[in-house]
Amino acid sequence: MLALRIASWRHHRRRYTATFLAIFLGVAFCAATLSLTRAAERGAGDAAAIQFSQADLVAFPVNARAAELAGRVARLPDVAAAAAIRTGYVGVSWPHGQAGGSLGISEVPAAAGLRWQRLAAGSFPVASDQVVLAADLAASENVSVGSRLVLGGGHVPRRDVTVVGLLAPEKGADGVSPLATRAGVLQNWQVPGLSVQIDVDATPGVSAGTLVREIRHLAPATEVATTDDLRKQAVSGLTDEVDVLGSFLLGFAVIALFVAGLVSSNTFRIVMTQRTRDLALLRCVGAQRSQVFLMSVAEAMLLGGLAAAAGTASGILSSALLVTLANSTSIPVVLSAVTPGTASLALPFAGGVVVTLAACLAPAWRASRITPVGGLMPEAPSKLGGRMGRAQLGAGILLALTGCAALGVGLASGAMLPALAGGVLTFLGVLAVCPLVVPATISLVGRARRLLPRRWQGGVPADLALLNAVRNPRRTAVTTAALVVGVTLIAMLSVGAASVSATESSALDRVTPVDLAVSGKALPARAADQVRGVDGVQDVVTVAGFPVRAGRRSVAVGTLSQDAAARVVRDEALRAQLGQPANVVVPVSARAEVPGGGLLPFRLQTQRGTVRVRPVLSSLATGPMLVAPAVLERLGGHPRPLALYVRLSDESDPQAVVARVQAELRAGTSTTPLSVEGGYAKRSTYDRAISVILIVATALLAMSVVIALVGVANTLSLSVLERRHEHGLLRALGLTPVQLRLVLAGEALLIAGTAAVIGTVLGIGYGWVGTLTLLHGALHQQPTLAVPTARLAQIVGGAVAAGLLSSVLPARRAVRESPVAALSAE
Amino acid sequence: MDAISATDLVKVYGKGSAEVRALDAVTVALATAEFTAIMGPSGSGKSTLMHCLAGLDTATSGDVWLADVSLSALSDSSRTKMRRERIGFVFQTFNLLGMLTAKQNVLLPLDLAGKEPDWRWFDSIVEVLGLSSRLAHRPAQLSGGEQQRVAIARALVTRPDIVFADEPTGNLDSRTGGELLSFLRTSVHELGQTVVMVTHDPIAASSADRVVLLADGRLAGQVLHPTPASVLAALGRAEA
Repeated sequence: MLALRIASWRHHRRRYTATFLAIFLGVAFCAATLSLTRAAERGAGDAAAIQFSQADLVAFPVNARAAELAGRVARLPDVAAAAAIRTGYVGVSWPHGQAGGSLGISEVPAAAGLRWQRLAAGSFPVASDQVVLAADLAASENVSVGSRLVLGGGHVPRRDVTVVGLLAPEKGADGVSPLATRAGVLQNWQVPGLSVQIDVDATPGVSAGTLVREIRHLAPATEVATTDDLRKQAVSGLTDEVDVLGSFLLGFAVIALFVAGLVSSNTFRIVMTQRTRDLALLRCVGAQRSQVFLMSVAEAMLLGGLAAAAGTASGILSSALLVTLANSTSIPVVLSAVTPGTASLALPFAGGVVVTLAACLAPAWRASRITPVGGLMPEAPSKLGGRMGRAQLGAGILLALTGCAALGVGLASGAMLPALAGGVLTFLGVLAVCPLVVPATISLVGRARRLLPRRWQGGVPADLALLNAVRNPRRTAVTTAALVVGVTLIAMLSVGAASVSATESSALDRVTPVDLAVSGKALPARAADQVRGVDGVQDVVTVAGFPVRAGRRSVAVGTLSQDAAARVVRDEALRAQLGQPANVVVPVSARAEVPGGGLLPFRLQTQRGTVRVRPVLSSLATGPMLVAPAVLERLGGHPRPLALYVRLSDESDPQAVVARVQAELRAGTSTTPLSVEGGYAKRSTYDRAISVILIVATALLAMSVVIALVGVANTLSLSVLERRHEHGLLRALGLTPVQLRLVLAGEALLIAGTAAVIGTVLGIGYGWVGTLTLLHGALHQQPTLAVPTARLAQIVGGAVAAGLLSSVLPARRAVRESPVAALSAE
Repeated sequence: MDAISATDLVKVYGKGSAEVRALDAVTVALATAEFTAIMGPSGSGKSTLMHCLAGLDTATSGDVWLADVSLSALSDSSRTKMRRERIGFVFQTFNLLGMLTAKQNVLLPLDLAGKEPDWRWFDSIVEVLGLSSRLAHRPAQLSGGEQQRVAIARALVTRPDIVFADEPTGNLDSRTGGELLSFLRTSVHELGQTVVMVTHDPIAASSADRVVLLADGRLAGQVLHPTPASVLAALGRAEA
């Protein structure tokens, strides 16, 4: 049997290329994810625990007894070295006189075995007036070895110290003090709030645990911990975020493996169908059902095992490469070297094997059901229906309904868990009914095509593509389903991100209606032109007006036409209020000047007229009160510029634009400084965070799309093998090579297009439900549901283009075959 | 006038010691409106000759002239177009596309070329072949003889210069096969169609106007106005 298995495998290996590739990619992705998470976790832990990296254990005594206890510990026979190390904060003045604020300071252990600090230049401090300084800080403050600093200030006596060395930077170790002096010095400096620890190095051969007990015996009230424990604590404190990252990445790995499973199960199914004759012949010559079943499973497992092993190896290698790359750049992520552990080796491998097994069981079972004469019958067209088909449809509909109920619960309560479960259930339901939905959709496309003018209908190639696409409904459906997974998730994230972003943005519009407001006592006339000339400014509107009496005060009142408001004011509600002649819009800075506390209508008065207005308190930060143009006219007076409202262009970097505006205004004004305020900063951080998450998630999901496309190419090439005779006949009858390519491209187009449409529709639905659930009660306003049309079009276009691309190789093979060979081949 | 002719046609498969000369300097000319049978034992090169004449395959050397066009000078695309416009085929098996109806199968070559059918011609072929009541059926619902008649209708519908039939009776019982041959004769003598049939069956070959004999890739004589007996005798001489 083994020889038969190997022979069969070799014979069919071309048909298995795609399965191999799908499992390989899924497993490699999984392995890379696991090792990267592990590397990030260990890297973060190592960086956080760098202060303990040289000691075996650390004791935390009370301050006063530290030196004495350190001496007693050092005399223990099992201890090689012990040192009390203090840490605190001290004021610093740099050599050129500028104050550096308060900096963390620590001590360098005298024993070289306990020192974890590394020198970039100079030497460690040996005297009480010597310090070492972090090299990056030294560079930015223009300090070098030999420079003199003044430490202290406030309650701490000032003292002159000399910088004798520079500390090499430790990536990711944020808690490390940038200053350090000799051990035992700090307690004499009267620095308040010093913390102390005793670093202990054990004699070689003594376990840290034993030593912990000895020290506890020596000083029962003192807390003692091994550095391994401390490192673990540091990791668990830090790695909440790493864990989140890990499960986030692992989620994508599971999705990739799931898609790989779909692709493989489809391949096994097709290959088994194509081999019906061979298998029936085997049964004719005496193979048992169980033998056929085991042979099929063994064949699949051989393939899955090889693919999983290769995938694991490549995943770990590529993650090692990534770690090396990341650590050679300045990105602030610490990754420890990738060390293939049991988990990162075994889990992806097992994942790949399990997925293969799950994918091959049903096809192998079907293969074992082939009767000896079954293979000699002409191939019956594959139809849906039968017990299995109906059961699957029923289960699919049931899943979808249950899922919808769970989604409803999520929507109503805002709870994420039912919503998530509902999403998964409905999605599985949709995948299960795909064999019904996909052919129906494709037939619909075929009928819709008839409405086009004849020369746009695509002729015979389109006819054939449509017929071919629905010839094996299940095959087409599963191929489509694999692609639907990725497209749905990407579309969902895009819609969700756009909706959250739109909601945030409309909330922000209300809080910060204007990007930038420039105001001041004396706004120069040319300021508007100056600001308009600044790079990154989209529009500038001058608010003109004059002082008006309101109650006993004189307040500045200006106006903004509807047209001008539309150009710079983001908040729609505020724009509407500006148009009401009875309103006066009051910025935050002017609230105190409103008579009656802003609740009651009041009068605006000049020598020329009086207007009764109703105050509207707005979240505009600064500037004059705003009335409608007609109101200002009735009050008479000579309007002059009071404030500038600025709209920044969307792609500009707001911080930089603000700096440029300020510089420009400063250069042009010698009188009173102008205030420049706005909501730019918040807006940009939100948008940037959302778009970064979206890009990363899309990139990660792209892996499952790639695997699904391997599936499309695979289904096509298996169909090409199956339709050799047919293609030969068509070629003989006059189908040109270009037309044959078009037939296959058309089939790919139908599969990818259907997947893209189903995926996008589902994605919009999930994106909205997700947004509503996520924002349920989180904001005191209605969430805005957005459809990022351009992005969705990109997704659909991308999926379709990739689908077309995946038809290139199968089509090439089909076209290369000479019609004679195809017709005469058995 | 010759419908198709070949000069010094050589077809070599394989290389070195595995080299097989399927055709060895074959020169042959087939007349318009004539029913020619190409005969020979298995491996004599008769199918290869047909494939080369029909532009399905390219010869290693030598040339094929379809009326005034040299096939060897054409690209794959141009040869394909030539095939669908000027040549019709009837194969032994794999004749019809199972997903299309009989009518769609018949019209396929015209659809491929993007041409409107001549419905009067279509009706008369269908009438002669007795397919009028079977047009809406799919191949699986037709008998073997009906399937082959659909294939003949498809070959004739484009009014090709020449129809090639590769063992058209190979999968049929003798009565159905006889009917099929009489259809082919009718199309030659009443519709003026040129037909070339490859067969190894002397009885089938004797329906033709002329039998061209092939052995070991070379021409081995011909029989005019053949009968089964004269074909068998000629075959015996050729193999000797």
